[in-house]
Order: sequence, then structure tokens, then C-alpha cells
Amino acid sequence: MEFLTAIATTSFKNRVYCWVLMSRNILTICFLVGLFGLNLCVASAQNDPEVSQTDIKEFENHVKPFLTEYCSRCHGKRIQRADFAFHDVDGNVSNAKDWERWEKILEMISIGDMPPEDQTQPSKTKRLQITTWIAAELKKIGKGPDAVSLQLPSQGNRINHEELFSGKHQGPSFSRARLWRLSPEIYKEFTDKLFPQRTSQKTISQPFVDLGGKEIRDYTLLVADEGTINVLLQTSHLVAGKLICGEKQSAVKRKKARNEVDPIGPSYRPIKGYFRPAYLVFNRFAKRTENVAESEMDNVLETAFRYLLQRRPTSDEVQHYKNNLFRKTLKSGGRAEGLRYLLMGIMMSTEFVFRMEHGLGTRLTDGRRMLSPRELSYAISYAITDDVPDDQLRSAVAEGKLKTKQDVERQVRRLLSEPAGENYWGFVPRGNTTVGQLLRQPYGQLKNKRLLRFFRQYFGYHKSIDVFKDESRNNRHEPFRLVMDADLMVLHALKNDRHVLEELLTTDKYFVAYMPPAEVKRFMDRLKKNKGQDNKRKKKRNAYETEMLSKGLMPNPNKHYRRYVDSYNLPDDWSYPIKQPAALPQQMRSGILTHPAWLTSFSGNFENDPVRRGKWIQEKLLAGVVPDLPIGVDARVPVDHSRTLRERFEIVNEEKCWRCHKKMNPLGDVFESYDDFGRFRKFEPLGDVEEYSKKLSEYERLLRRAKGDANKVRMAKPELKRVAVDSSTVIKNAADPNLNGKYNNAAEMLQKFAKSPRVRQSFIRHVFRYFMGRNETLNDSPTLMAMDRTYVQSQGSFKETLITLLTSDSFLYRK
Amino acid sequence: MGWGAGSLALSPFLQQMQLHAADRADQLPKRFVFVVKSNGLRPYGVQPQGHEDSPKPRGITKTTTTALDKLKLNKCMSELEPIKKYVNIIQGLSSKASGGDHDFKFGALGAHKSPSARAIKETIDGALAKFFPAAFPHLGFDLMPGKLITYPKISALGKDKNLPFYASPTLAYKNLFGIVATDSGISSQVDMEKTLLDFLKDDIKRVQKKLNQEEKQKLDHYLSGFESLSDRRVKMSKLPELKKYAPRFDDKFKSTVETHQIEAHFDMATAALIAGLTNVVTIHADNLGMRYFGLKHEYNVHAIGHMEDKGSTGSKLTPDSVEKGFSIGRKSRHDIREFHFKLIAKLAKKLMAIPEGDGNMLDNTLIVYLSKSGEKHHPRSREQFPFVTVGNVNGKLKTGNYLQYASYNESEHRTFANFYTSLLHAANKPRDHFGDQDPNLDPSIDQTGPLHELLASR
Repeated sequence: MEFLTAIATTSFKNRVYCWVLMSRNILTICFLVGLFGLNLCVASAQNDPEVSQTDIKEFENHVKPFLTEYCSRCHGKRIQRADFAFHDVDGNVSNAKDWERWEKILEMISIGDMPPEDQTQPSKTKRLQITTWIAAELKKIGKGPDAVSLQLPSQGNRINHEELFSGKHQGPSFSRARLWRLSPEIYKEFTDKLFPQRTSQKTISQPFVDLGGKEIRDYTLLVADEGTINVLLQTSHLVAGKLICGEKQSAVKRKKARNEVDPIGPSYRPIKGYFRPAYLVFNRFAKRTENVAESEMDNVLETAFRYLLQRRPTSDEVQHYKNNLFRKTLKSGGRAEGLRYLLMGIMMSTEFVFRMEHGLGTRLTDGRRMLSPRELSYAISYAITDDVPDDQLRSAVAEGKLKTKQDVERQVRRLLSEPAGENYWGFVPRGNTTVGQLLRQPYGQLKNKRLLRFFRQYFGYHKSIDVFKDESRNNRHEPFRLVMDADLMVLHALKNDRHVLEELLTTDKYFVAYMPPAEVKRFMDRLKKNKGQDNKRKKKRNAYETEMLSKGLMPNPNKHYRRYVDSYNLPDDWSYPIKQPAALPQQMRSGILTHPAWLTSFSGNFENDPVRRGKWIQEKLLAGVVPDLPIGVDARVPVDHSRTLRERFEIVNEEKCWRCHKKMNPLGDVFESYDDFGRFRKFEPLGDVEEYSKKLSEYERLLRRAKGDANKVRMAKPELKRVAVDSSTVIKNAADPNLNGKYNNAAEMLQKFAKSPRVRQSFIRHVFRYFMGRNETLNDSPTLMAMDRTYVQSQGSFKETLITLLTSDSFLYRK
Repeated sequence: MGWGAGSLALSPFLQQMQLHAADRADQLPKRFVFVVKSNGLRPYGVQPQGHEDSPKPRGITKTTTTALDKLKLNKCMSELEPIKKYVNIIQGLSSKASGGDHDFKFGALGAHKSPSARAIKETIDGALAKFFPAAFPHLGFDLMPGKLITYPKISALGKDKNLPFYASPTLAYKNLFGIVATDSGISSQVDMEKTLLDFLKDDIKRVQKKLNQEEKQKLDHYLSGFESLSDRRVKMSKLPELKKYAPRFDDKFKSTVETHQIEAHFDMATAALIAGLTNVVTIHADNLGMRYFGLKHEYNVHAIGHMEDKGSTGSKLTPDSVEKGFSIGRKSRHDIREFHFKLIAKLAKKLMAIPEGDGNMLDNTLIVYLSKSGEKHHPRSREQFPFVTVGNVNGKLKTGNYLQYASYNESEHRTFANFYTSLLHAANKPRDHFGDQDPNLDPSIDQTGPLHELLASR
């Protein structure tokens, strides 16, 4: 708690980079640990007779000699590099005296950071032997890495990359038989069918929480706990009420009918859409007054199963539900309320809350079992969409046409070929479009939302909206618009489906304030309509608009809503090409990592954040591991208005910091040619920028008051000192040696990175994680290699790569 | 509501009685109630009579303490006049560490900037709830007609741990007192819910039989969620005080009139505190979009917030709504405050009637009245954030005072974060500082520590 408090009370002027980086993972782990009921904060084991004693023999025979041979020269009594020594570390780990040092030793050896590359390296077996011993000993006292945190997507890179793609591991690939709790998006898709109106959607609280952050968020390790149940009870109550009663009619009648105890009121009308047939059955049942007949109960149960679980109940289930729930609730609450609680029972059942992937299909000789057709239909549908299997998938199950790999491929291809994102392209933000609409509407209308969501969560650019920027510094920053532009860039790459990753890393063609064809047509129509008019002002505008359109440029209506183009270094009067994406000024941009949405997402509130940017590249493009725990450091970036951010970051060159920062800062420094709003710059301002912004806005105010006459303004125009930006970097020890070298700017670096097999494979690993909902293992090596091959052979087709994954053994088989 | 409540021990009435008997009054539960109104609480609105024109925004160099027994409380607080020895009026604290316009969101109770309405840190009610566990570690009531549960974005346990609030009085009643309810509708729902929970527990166990160890464990969380819910109900059913103090489920719980709903929320909060169901309550007393039909208001709360104090711009003067030259806005704001203080006084008096330790329950309960944005609807300077407190924390606070703090950047100036730090000190959980520090405040002003003028010296 003290640690958390320390973070909470850190003022923004003393931001602690290391701690913040660390806190993200720690908080996530704490969250999961909380969920799994594990206890990291075990009291000293000394007084606990339950803790089994340390295997001292093993320590003396193997661990101690290992530490002496490989470590003690730099971390011994005489030399203590990075201020870290363990010549006096207590070998009796279960004493819990030295657990922190043991955790650090374990971390460094297991991720391969120690011994340093230029020193003699222990064999893999030796390394494994030592780390296994330390982990086992730490586990005895409740310390060390726990199984849950290692399953987080952020820890996926701990599996050795070279091993994964070496071809040595031939599987067989499979996933464990598993339950995968519904994602918030799947549940929302379900409730949206019943509550299509935005106003009524607001009444639905989301029972499911995902991992959050900029990582992959929907993972199989997520659980449903008491918090989930509490909210689920309320939402199911509401949903069941609507399924029985129907739509509330009007605001006036709604007020009269607002009575949660008896939802069957006079002011309801039948619901439309998918659930309408079910509503008709339920409503009829609820309205009748006679004693409930057995056949009625059977009919209601059959309908409820069909519409909520997409299957027929077995006769056992009918009896079970009738005897243990339905009869009892009917007795307590009568027809309507009794039925409501039956429906709640189904909507809170294990089958509804969890995706079942037991593997009920054909059993192979090696013990693996294929997913059954029904399981497959869900797995496919939820891999690509947030919805339950569609009619074609359901009929394929019924007709026995979803049993083989080829069947799966056919269905996956069908789903992927459906036009995705048409509505997204057609969405036009207008002056009165709210931020909420921007976030919801275009994205909400996408067909295959999970594809775009993967790119959002992989790149993390959508988190731009969470980074608070002071309006007084730049009131043109509109992160929602930037995210939408970045979404369009991704959708465009997906539409072409050629060299997707390379394009996203290198393109200088951007979407900026895109106008869909329908909107352009509307514009042209207006132009035609205005043509014959004599009005002087309209004539002038017509002439201007006609000229622009003839050049293939978009005239600028709604200028106010395009003020954000400043983020792309574009002037207000920039002419928007009708055909987008269009190239931005040369040398300024290279793909999504130089997109203002990504840059702001990985920036601080007031300045750039080379550490997080570098960390992203290290983990997401190079499949590297950055240790969670800094080695005994509390590095602060000093506040000094006379030095550039890069100069101030020189403090991480100290040995104890550089151990981790060398993996991040050189990669993040290239983005210094952009400011923290994502604007390209050649000069970096020095001085108190906040103070400057305040003075500048005051000056501008006075200038306006003086009607533009600077002589009448009493204060001098504030100015900031500027120095040329240094965005060059030297990369050493990159996982792919071809990437080592000097780069002058981000574009240069990204062009090179885009060609690297390591970068491609790292991307493939993340695709695997997202669509499988788990971290890869060495058993998945054949799947990953096949995906990699497909990507290369199909000239960088994302869809083909995805098809390879969704027809792989890792996806199809359970054990 | 929700967060692992089942694992926390109950602090029932009997336990408190045992503590009195054992002369361990210091271990009595300390209770906190935060009543948070929308629209800025204008400083003059809670000033004692005769001081309505002050406090000035600038130029107060010294912090002063005036005993309230020499003063008459503001007209809107007249219901508190008989118990003003429990009241504190605190003026002049700044709130610049928070951000936001007419709503500081988590910043109002958290003393920090709350970007894009996301919980980034704990708020004071969340922090206190962690220290004083009960069946419901934190109880929130929100006024959002037509909704069941809301997240009004004012209270959080920590980063991304936004606390839920009951918006539906009926639902809150069902969950808090349903187990002892005499209303047939409520009790049948409670019966059905019990049946449902039992059924689902069986359902999980049936599925578990088919699973491997790892997945079984995953379902254990789901199962234990149901079990702790049932368990809590069983424990609650054994609380003799629950039945005694449960409010009667009358029409106001079903009413669509906002004032009735607020009354219902206060009734439930009172009963929950007395019965020991919770020790920390936050009542979000109104929201900007609603209209006080019960007070016969013509405008919604947001519009009222925008109205000027004097009957000029933006406000219509009508003979029946104007009193001594007040505009509709000022009159309406007065009505709302008066209504809130009536409810607070009722809550305080009910607590006073229950003996506890050497005194009564109000001696161990602090009610804090504040707004979501300090000085006014759209605060400009954020240099004034008034508080009114009623009650005490087992004698840890000096009460019955009107505290006027020195103006912003004066050496004796303090911030609202210091007030929250004081609450933690009073609760025996001292910290150097709660929330964020104000980076704009003169560095020579110490922003740490509690308000010494508020804390009793013992």
C-alpha cells in the first residue's frame, strides 16, 4: 500500500518513469492476483511452521557455484556494479530475509539479461536449473513470479523467440480445454440487440471487466467473480424484464409505469428484431392468469434456450430447470416474475457467461480432441466478431458441415470476405457530433470489429484519448479525431491486404478529415443547386468550390471541425484531397508510429515519453523483454528548463538504470522530432512551456482586444528559446543484428525495421495471442511458423495469416 | 456494493455494545457520510447570517476561527441550528489540484485532476472504506431516475476502481433490507433471488465435474462469488438491528419524484449506518440534468447553476420567486441547499438519538457536505471550496466553529487536500498528504499535514 501511495502522491513535476512503468504491470498483476485469491504479501516465513525449508543441498551444490562463476565478479564484495551485490545473500530462501534480491536475480537470469552478452554464458540447461530452483524456493514463501502473472499478454515474450521459430519444436499443437469468460464487447453486442436505442443502452451496466491498458485485453485467464455477479444480477433482471414486457412506450407513460417490482405494465409495446419471437412467447405466458401447464413451461424453456443459448435443451435440462428453479420462482413470484427469474438463471448460467471450449469432437491417438462443430461455430464467430454464430454457421453445425479443417476455412473465409467497415468509411463527423458519438458510432457499426480492435490493442493508439493534455497548451488537440484517422489507416491497409505490417509501419499516406463519397456527393448536389443563383456571396463560393473540386480537392466546409489538422502540421487552409489516403509533406511521417494518435498515446501530459515509446518497440516489434522491476533505482527525470528532454534523460546512462533503459531509450529517442501532440518539429522549445502558454494566450487576448495592433498591447510578446531537435539514435544489440546501426530519424528507422523478419515474427506472435486469448508456448511453434510462412507467401496478407491461425491445430484442438 | 464484501467482517450493533462495555470506545467504528451536490456550492451560501457578503476571494491574510454559538447559521441551514455544536463551516480552502469545469469528477473527493473522467487514484471515501470494513464497505446512492446502478464518477477505490452507486431506491432497498422486508413484492423477489443463487451454485458444481483442475479453479471464483453473496445474506438475516432500523418500504421508494428518491436514499443511509451495514456512505444528492419537481423548480439544476446571483442577466424576476432582490437562480439554489440540510439534519438527529459509548452515534459519525466543483457552477479561480461538516469522529475534531482560511498564496492558506488529510488523521490513519499537491501554490506554503484548526489537540 505504501508503494501505491507513493505513486499516488508523486507530483507531476517529479514524474518517476521507472515507477510508472513498473506500476502498470504491478497493478495489473495485483488485480489478477486479487481475482485469483493469491496472496503475494506473505508475512515473514520465519515464524510459519507451514513453510517447507529451503533445499540447501541444491543451493550449495549448484546455485552457489553458479553465482560464484557467473555473477560474483561484478556483484560481489569488492565490485558492486549497478549498486547490486549478493555475496552475502541468504541461501536459505525460505527465511524470507533476502526475497527481494532473489527475485531480482531470478528476473535477470530468466530473461537472459545476465550474465552480460560479452561475458561467458551458462548453458540453457544450467540457466533453467538455477531459475527453476529459485522460483520454487520463492514460491514456498509466496514470492516470485506467480503462474497467473506469467499468463498475462505482456509476459508472452518470455518464451524464447529463436526457439519458437527454430523449427525444432514440432508440437503437436493444441490449446488446453478451457472456459473463456465473455468479453465486455460480446455482452454489449447481446444487450444492444434488446436495447438498440442509445438512451436505453445507458441503463445497462457492464458486468464484465477486461485487462485494460494498451495491451491485449480479452484473455482466457479472466474470471467472473462476486463483482461480476452483482452487476450481472441487475442487468439480467433488466434484460429479462424487457424480454417479457417489451418496449416502454413513451416518456409520459414510462413515468407511470416505472415500477421495478411489477414490470408488466400497460404502457409497453412489442419489441422488434432478433428477440421478437421469443418476446411473443414470454409475454403470452406472463399475461395469462390460469394455472401454469407443463407444456407451457416446456415451451417457454425451449424458447429461452433457443434464443439465449442458441440450442435446444436436453430433456434432463428441462427437468432440472423446471424442478430446481422454474416451479419455485413461479410459486414465489407468479407467472411474470417467475419467468423473469428463470430467464435470469439462463443468462447467469455457466454456459452463458463462459465460452465453452472443452474439445468434444473427434479424439486423436495422441489424446487431443477437436472442438465439436458447435464449439467451433462459437470459436470462429467470436474470433472475428462479437456476436453469436450467424445463421450460416448454425446451419453448418446442424447439417454436419463444420467438422473438418476445410469446413472451418470455408466459414472463416466467408466471414472475412464480408465487407468490413463500410459504415465506418461512411461516417462523417459534423460540428455537432459529440465525442461519445465519435467513439461509439463508426466503430460500433463495424462488421468484423475484432480485426480493427486487434490493431488498436497491438499499436495502442486508441489510448490517445486517455492522455490528458492541458487545453491551454494546445486547444486544437482532438484525440478522438486522431484515433478515427488512425483507424481508417488500418482499415485501408486491411482492405488492400498486402504487406499490411510494412504499410502500417512505413506509409506516408494518411487519412486526415476524410470525407466519404456520400458526403462528397451531397456537396456536389448542393453546388449544382446553387449554380444558377444570383446571390453574390453564393456565386463567389460556387466559383471557389468548383475550382477546388476540379482539382480533386475538397472545399473546406465546417472549418471549425478541422482545426485539429494542426496535429499533422497542416495549415487551416489546407486543401483536402477527395481521394484519401493522401501523402503528407515529405519526411514527416512514416506509418502509424509517427501518427499523432500513437505519439500522443505514448506521451506524458506535458512532454514526450521516449521510455514508453521505446518499450513498445522493444516488446511489440522486437519481441523483447523489459524487466518489470528496476534494479534498485528510483530514477527521476529532473525538471530543468535549460536542457532538452533528451539531455535530461541522460541520467539513465548511469549503469544501474542503463541495464533496462538501453532497451528502450535508443528506440524511443527517434521520435523526438515530434512534440507531445504528435506535431513534427525541427526545434525543441526550452523553458517553462506551461508558463509560456499562459502568457501567450494572455498576449493573444490582449492583441484581439487591441484589434490586432501589437503596438497597443502593453505586454511584450512572450518568446521561448529553441534548440534544434536531435532525433538520431544508435541501436546496438538489437535482437536482429541487421537492425543495429545509426538512424537519423524515425522514418529511417521504421523503413529498416519493416523489412526485418524479427519484426514480422513479433507481429505474428501478437496476432496469435490476441486471437487465441493466451500466450504462445513452444508447442505452438508449428502454428506460428506456418503463419509466418503464409504471411510471406501471400505478400503480407493479414487475412490469409489469420486463416492459417484459425485452421491451425492450436485453434482446433484441445487437450 | 460488490468488491469482495463477503470476505469482510460485519460490524454489528452488538459488537459495538461489547466495546462500550469494555471501555474501548476508541475502537468504535468511525462513520463517514459524504453528501455531494452538483453545481458549485457558493461560499456565501453557507456563511453564517451577517457574514453573507464574505468571504472575499482575495486579501485574507490570516486564518480565523469563530465559534458558531455566537453566530446564527445561514437561513438554509436553520434545521441545523439546534445541533450547531456539531457543525463546522470551513471556508477558503483552494481546490486547484483538481481539474474540470462544472464537475471535478473524482477530483472533488480525490483532490486530484481526473482526466477524461477516469478513476486514476483513490478518493477519500474509497480510502476510508478500506479502513472501516463492513458488510458493505462503501455504500453509494445516486440520483439518476430510471437507472438501477450507476457509476457517477465521483468515488473510487483506486486506479480504474470506480465505485458503483445505487440509483434505484427499490433495488437498494432490496439488497440492503430485502432480507427483512415486510413488503410482499420485495420479499418475494428476495425469495426468488435466493432460489436463483442456490440454483446457479448447483449449476456451477455440475459443470465443474467435467473440467480439468485449471478450469475448475476458474469456476471456483464464480462459485465463491455466489457463495459470498448468499453468505452475506445469511449474516444480514442474523442482524437483529436490521429489522429494527430498516426503513418502511413506502411510496417514496417507488416514487418518480426526485425529492422523494433523495429522501429514500437518506433513510436507507441512516438505517445502514445504525444497523452497522456500512461505515462509509456517499450520497450524490443531485445531478445537473434533473429538475427538482418536488421543490416546484421550473429549471433544471444545470440551468440554475448558470443563473446569476442578482436579478439581471439570464434570470427572470417574478414576484413570487424573488425574496429580497434574489434572482430565481439564487432563490432556487437556496431551496436546494435548504432541502439538503434538512435531510442532513434529520440524519444527524436520528444518529444522535442512538447512544454509543459515552455519547451518541453522531459523536462517531462525520457528515461532510460539499459540491462537485467548489465555488460556483463554472469555477474560474478554484480558490474556494467550501465544506460543511456535521458530527465528529470520536472527539477527534473541534466542532461548532466557522473556519475562514487565508486566501490563496497567503502563508496560512490551506487546500482541500489538507481537509481530506485531516479526515484520515481523525480516523487514526494519518498520512502526510492525500491526493495531489497544487503545483501552482507558492512553494513556501506547506501543503502536507492536516488542518490543525480542525483537529482537536488531544
